[in-house]
Amino acid sequence: MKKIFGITIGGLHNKILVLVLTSLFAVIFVFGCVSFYQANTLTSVVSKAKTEQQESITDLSENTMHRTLEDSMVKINALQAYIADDMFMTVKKDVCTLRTLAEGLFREKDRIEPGKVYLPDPANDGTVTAQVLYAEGVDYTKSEYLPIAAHMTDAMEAMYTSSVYSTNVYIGFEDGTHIGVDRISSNKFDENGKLINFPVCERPWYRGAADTGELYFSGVMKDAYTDSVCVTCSAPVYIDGKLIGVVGIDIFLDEMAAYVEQSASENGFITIINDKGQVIFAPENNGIFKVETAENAEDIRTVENGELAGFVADAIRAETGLRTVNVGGRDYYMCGTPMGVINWTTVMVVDRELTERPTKALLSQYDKINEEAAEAFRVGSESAAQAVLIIMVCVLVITVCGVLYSAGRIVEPIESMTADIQEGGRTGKLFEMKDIYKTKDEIQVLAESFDDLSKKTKQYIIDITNITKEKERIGTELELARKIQADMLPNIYPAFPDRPELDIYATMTPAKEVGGDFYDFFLIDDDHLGMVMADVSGKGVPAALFMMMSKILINNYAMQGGSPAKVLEQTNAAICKKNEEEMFVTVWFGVLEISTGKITAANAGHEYPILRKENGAFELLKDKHGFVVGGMDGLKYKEYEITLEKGGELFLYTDGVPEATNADGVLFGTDRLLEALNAHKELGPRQLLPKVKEAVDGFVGEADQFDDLTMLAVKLM
Amino acid sequence: MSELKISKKQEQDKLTVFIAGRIDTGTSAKLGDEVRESLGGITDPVLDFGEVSYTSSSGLRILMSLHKTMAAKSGKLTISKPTQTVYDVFDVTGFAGMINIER
Repeated sequence: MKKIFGITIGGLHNKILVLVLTSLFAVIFVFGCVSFYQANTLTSVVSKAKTEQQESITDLSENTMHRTLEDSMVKINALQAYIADDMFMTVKKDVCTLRTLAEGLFREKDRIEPGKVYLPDPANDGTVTAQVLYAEGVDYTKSEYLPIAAHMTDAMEAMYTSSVYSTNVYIGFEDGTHIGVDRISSNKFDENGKLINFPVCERPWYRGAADTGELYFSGVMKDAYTDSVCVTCSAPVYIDGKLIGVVGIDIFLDEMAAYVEQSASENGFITIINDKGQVIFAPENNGIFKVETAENAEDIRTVENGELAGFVADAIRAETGLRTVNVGGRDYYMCGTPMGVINWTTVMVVDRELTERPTKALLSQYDKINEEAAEAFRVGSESAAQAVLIIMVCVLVITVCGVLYSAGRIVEPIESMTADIQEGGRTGKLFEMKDIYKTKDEIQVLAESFDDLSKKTKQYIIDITNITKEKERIGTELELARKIQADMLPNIYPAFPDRPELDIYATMTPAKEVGGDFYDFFLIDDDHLGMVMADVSGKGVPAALFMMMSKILINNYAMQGGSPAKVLEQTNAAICKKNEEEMFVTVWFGVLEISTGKITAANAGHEYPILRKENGAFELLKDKHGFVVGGMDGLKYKEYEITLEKGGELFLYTDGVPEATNADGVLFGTDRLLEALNAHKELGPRQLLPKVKEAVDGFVGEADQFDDLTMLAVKLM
Repeated sequence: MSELKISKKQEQDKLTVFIAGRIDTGTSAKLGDEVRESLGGITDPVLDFGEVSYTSSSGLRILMSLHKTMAAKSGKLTISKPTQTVYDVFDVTGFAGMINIER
């Protein structure tokens, strides 16, 4: 596995790290989502609250402002109108007084002495003086009115002097004469020093009063002598239903004009509109009302702006209260109060923006505070977010380090163990307990188990090695024993080179290295050959030892010249003396008289011998049987005699031959044995035995050899 | 190694051992041990050889040993129903004349 920074990719270290980091990121993600949601909710709540507060402030402020303004504007305007109206009222009273005075005088003219009147005298400038003026072509000296009117001059002078507003007090007559009171006598003359003609009856104030027959206020006009703006109040004088003249007083309105002009401020102004809807006074450039000369003056009641026209029409008729009027896209508060005497109206105009200004200021202030708070909140949030970020990074770093450290603590012993075991696998080095494995957990248990297993394996290997050595030693010894056993049996052929009439051959193939079968043949004397075929019960070393003993005993007793039965009985007696293992041996023992071919034999529980007569076939010889040697003490055996003819053959064998078994569990049997023998009956012992062995091997095939395979054949020539 | 099946039936003092298979060097010791451990109080055990296909000299040695054991305590070992092949072995080795065999 690949390693990066000491961490095995795909290893436990890596897996633990990934697991912990995944969990950590999941927690951070959830935490982040919750924080984001809360921040959003908070922002929306704050934003909503801000909007509501702003609306609330706007409503409250504007309403308050509106109420305050309405109250004050209406009152102030009413007061202004009242003051102006009072002025006109005073003038009106003065005019009425003059008229009454004139009517009284002229009604009593017959009883009044004619008075004297004077033409203007520039020398009188600065002195309040009554002066006569007249229209062109009129002889004032012939006037019937002037001498009567002369008695009014004192009253007129007094009125002029006492009045605040009056700038001219006068009376004109139908005959074109006129008496005026003022303090400027010099302006009655032209540049040539000639007295100016004064067309009395054509003057607007005269015509107005004469035509209407009532008290008359002229429009605003320029004074005949000065440039001052003035209004004339005049009234006709009737005597016995006949008009004789008109009395009048001029009022200079400069003060009013100045007042109106001064009223103009940033947000409002006052304007005066007459009964014809024409603007009398208005500050310059106010954007709404414009003062024009009387001929050009527009009737505001007929302007295109219906709102404004309606308002002005209402304002001339009656008090309007506070109204909002839109002019040129701007809202204005307007209120109008009519002046009852002259039928004009005073209109006060305030830009509505004025009322919104405090609200705006408030809102602006509120916004500022809000923004400051928001900024503070934002800064706070940012620093909080930074702090959280730093904390997260710290947590991440600490966690990663912690995980690396603890994963290292967990993984290091495992990695070390893996390396140790791999090394052990390569080099055979023993796994050893180390301090690093003493973790007091499963790793320690694992390491201890490995340690234990390693030690046991080592011991096992040692044991196996020893056992193998032992086996090899035993194998060697068994091989040696087999050789000794084989050497014990006669195995040099021809066995009796100097006895050509005797052809004898024997083989033994043990199932194990050493067998329990044995054969033997030996010359007892020149004419007698002893032949032994025996099978010891069991196999291996015990059988081999028992076989050695049996062979020697039989040989010894045979050499002492006893009969076969006697030899077997002696052998049995000797074996039975000490046979704790309860072993036994089947023995066929025969003695061949070479000269005659007579065989005397005894059978101790052994297989039937097979005999072939000269020119005959091999046949089973069912001889008399005794019990096995070593089976029971004191056994007696019976002998029998057979003849081996010249050219005949005797075949002896152990049960390994007929009982050889093939893979199907079928025994070779004596029938097949006979068949094999007869198939090669013309062969001598030396060639015959291998053929039998071949037949047995062919039959057995791959199956194991159970028993020793021992054969002996003897032929007399 | 061939298998040898041994089962036993005991009724009071009468023991019958049923044997099946080959009795050879590898299995004979097992037969001896099995029979001996059931011999307590038994005087006339019967070995049923009906299913025995072959017996080697090792098997004969066990039978002779058992025979001697029984004879020593005045009992009698009986081998019943041996096949012809096995009986031939008993006959050839002289066991047929020594041990009670019921054919």
